[in-house]
Amino acid sequence: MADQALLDRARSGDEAAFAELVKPHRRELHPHCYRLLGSFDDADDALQETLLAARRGLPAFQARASVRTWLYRIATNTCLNLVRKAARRPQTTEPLPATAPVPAGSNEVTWLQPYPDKLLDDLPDDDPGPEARVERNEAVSLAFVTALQLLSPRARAVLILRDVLGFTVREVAGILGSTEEAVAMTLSRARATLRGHTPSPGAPVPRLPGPERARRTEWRAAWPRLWARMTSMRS
Amino acid sequence: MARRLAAALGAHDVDAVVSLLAEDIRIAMPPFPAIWQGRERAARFLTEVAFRLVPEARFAETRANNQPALAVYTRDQAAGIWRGSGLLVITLRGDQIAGLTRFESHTLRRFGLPRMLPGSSLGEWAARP
Repeated sequence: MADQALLDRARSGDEAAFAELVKPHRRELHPHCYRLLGSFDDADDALQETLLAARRGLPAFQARASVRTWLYRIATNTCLNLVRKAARRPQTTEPLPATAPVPAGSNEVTWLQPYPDKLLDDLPDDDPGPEARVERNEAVSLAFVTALQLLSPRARAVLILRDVLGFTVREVAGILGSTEEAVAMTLSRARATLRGHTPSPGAPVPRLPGPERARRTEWRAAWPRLWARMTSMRS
Repeated sequence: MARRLAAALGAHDVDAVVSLLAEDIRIAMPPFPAIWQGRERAARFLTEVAFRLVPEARFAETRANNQPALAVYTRDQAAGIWRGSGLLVITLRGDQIAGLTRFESHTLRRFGLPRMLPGSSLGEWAARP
């Protein structure tokens, strides 16, 4: 919960106070926008818009929710608006040689961009809520971010808010201006769709109770050298 | 794995690259709306696309999406430099590469990687940023 004095100063138009108020959260909002949009460039735009909207909306902020939840609400809805307006940055691509082999299928997520690990390493080590089901490391993997893009924007937002960030269904409903029943229904469909889009057996999948988790644990145990290298490279 | 892949790609050694790949390897290069799947297509993709577009390559290791990745630089002989030509993100499954996703070169700056390397600093290209 934000310091009341800080909040009052920010409300009165103090730029430095506003910056201090949002500082603990703005870094984690960027990967949130990236998951929602699949594009680093679009996430940049969305974050800028989010901060502008937050400053505009601060006088109306009731402090019933935490500053963090309030910012997630603005960021999520900003991203959903961007998708709705199709305000994505244009993509250009180089032509392939005529002799290129025939593709096996189409890549629907043409706007996907990579996300640098160094921006994730710097994030505050905030534990997601107990409701989170997707491990932090997996929640940014290409397979997961790609699968997310195949959900409807709203379903994507519900799944990220609940299963990645660990907001409760009630909080998610508040963020999206929806009802708990509608969120619960969207969530269960989104989880099923996401499982269907997980491309291969070794690809990161949403954390599930029971056998699925056990299998992944075995997988990690089987490749300690590889795993050690993957994790040590992060430090 | 990133280092082995870089060595095999740099040498244009198709067999060595394919030996690192899973049977159902998926290759994508967004925003190109296509996926190539399987070792046989991957081999043809290398000779017909990758090695043609990037005839001479240098690589720098980095990480993206919590996965190993290679920044790819191609030689620009006229300018005497190595020009960033893309980012190759590796999806591992066990000790095999299950996915290779190639992104456009403008994504490199997000990684603090230079868009070009001077022709004279080849000794340092393999260093991690």
